[in-house]
Amino acid sequence: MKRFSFLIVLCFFAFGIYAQGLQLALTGMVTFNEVQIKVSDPGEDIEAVITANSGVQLSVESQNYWEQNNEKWRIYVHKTNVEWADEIRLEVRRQGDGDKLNKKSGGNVHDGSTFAEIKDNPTYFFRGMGLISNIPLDFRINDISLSLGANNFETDVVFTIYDD
Amino acid sequence: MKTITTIIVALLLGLVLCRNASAQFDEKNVHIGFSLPEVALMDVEYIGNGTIEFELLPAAESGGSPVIRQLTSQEFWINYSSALGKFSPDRSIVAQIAGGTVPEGLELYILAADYSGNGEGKTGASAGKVLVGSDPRPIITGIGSAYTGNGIGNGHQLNFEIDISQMEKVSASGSHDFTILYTLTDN
Repeated sequence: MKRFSFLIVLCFFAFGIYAQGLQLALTGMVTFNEVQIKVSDPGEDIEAVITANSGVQLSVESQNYWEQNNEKWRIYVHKTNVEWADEIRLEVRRQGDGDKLNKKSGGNVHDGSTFAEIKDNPTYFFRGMGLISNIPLDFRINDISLSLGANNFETDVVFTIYDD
Repeated sequence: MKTITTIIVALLLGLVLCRNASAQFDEKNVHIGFSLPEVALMDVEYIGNGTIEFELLPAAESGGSPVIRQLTSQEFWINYSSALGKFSPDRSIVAQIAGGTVPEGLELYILAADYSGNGEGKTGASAGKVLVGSDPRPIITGIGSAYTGNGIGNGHQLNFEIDISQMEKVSASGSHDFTILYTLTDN
């Protein structure tokens, strides 16, 4: 009986651990250079592509040491608009591989190194294995135009991590 | 005992299934924002020195009216870039004589053609043939958030005309220079 009770407790403990899962951490801010949002000559449009001065870094973390080993994961990205225009395309890319916490047992990242549009529905961004910190991200805006009118455009970019 | 065994097996099975199923672990978001500022820029593009010359000639036959001839045939185009706030009214381009005076008995008219070019957005509409004086008068109206394209062939071509309004006041008084000022203005 004692042995069974121990197994039950062990199972609940195991469930608890898996329920914690991998966690994402985002640091930094995205700012766009105001100098780029200017008209060079009367009659001209503003520059259609504006690259952000991004200091945003994404980290895959866990409080569970076990998951550092071979946990494969995928990052999806989408945006939830506060004030946006359909014509404006927001894009993101991964600028580097980040810092590998456990080189022997993973820490690889794949895909996402070229600019891809962030849509309103989650789309695959990149994948990896193990715990990795400080993956640098780069953002840019495409297709902005004076014809959109003067406005403050805002959106929230949501990164979601799934197990792979 | 059997019940306990079943529970354990179920828990272990669930554990294995949970491992295999694709589960969302976590999500985080970053806020992105930028401002598109109000823009109001305009210029007049032309080839040459930006001057138009008219000549008033006597009638070819006695009793006929004098003939006004345009000596230069330069093209003048108005280019503009405009970005308006959400609730801002449309803009206009007004013209006025800012320097010098039109000789007595004569009138200056400007006709801004309809928009053509490589621009985009809510470009303005011609106000037709407009008598230009010392007070500003709209020659292009209804400009929203738009750009016309830059240079000759983009925007609104300007046409100038001088008419005799009061023949009795027309006199041979030498040459007269005057300057036309264009302003992109909020309505």
